[in-house]
Amino acid sequence: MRVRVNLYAGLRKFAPEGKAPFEMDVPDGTSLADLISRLGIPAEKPKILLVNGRHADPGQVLAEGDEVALFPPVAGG
Amino acid sequence: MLRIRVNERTVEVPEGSRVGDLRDRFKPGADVLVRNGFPARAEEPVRPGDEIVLIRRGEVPSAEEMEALLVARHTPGVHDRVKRACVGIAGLGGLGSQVAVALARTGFGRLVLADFDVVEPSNLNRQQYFVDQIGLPKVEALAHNLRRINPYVDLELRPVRLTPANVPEVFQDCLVVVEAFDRADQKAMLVETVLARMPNTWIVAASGLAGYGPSDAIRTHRVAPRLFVVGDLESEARPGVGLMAPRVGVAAHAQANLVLRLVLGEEKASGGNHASL
Repeated sequence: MRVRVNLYAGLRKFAPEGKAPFEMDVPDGTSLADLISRLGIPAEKPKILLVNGRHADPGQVLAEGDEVALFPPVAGG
Repeated sequence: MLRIRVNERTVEVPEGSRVGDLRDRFKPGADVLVRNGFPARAEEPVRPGDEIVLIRRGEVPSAEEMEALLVARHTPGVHDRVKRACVGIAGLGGLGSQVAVALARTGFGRLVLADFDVVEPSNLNRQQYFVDQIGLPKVEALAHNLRRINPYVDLELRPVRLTPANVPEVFQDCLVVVEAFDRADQKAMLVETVLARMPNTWIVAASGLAGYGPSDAIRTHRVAPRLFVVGDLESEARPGVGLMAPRVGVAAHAQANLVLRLVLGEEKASGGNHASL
């Protein structure tokens, strides 16, 4: 199945060809954690995980056409 | 008759009126007279279209006077929507205290201020506090400062540590929640909680504002339909890259302006997760 992925800030270097957003084919049953691992992103780096604009847990299984966004907030305020 | 404005209201006065006549009629005892932005003498004649401001030094404007000046500056339609809005601010540090000041000046009707911290000397390089407030709870110190700006903003003070368990209750009446924390894990907690449990609330977060990099690198990113992030996304606060008033202020005011735009309906509902503003 095909999903759309957006990576922000320091995670963008893990995008294929360094460009995000991008589309990606993944096997049926792939979870968000599987996708993160497949992209070579250390599991602890993305702190905000979104699927279709909503907060998602790493165990959430993805569906065809899902929009995934991974965001690593940095300190400062 | 002459058509002029006195203390933000349009009035008609007899030909030949002088500034002192207006003082006696509209604000007896006023000791500061201003005509078209400049100090005026009582015997100065008034001309059509003049803007006259009459002030009793030390007097706090009434709710009606404050309302009139905000309406005059912002237009009635804008003021009405801003006045009815409730906004939550999570964290009252460099971002939160400056967002609160901007929103209070704009005349937002109600602000929910949440922070369990006290004012420390190291906060004064960028936060809206004063040396005589060191050691006070931030909610109290900021409320005092905001009331000196606009005493008619309804402030709800929540000196609590925000957690996933209490965020929905603390900010239940808020149309928008401003994420103004310092720590990255707290930022993520608030974003997650609002997106997961508050389906009708926008969240305006910040990430990447330390140091003295270019102001223009600080942008507003729409990460999800209800999640905006202001910042350059990269500049982390760490030893050697401190938080400084100018750049934190740029980010805080970008957050405040986005809150205003959301309240005024200027941000369309969007399904995209990668649009930038």
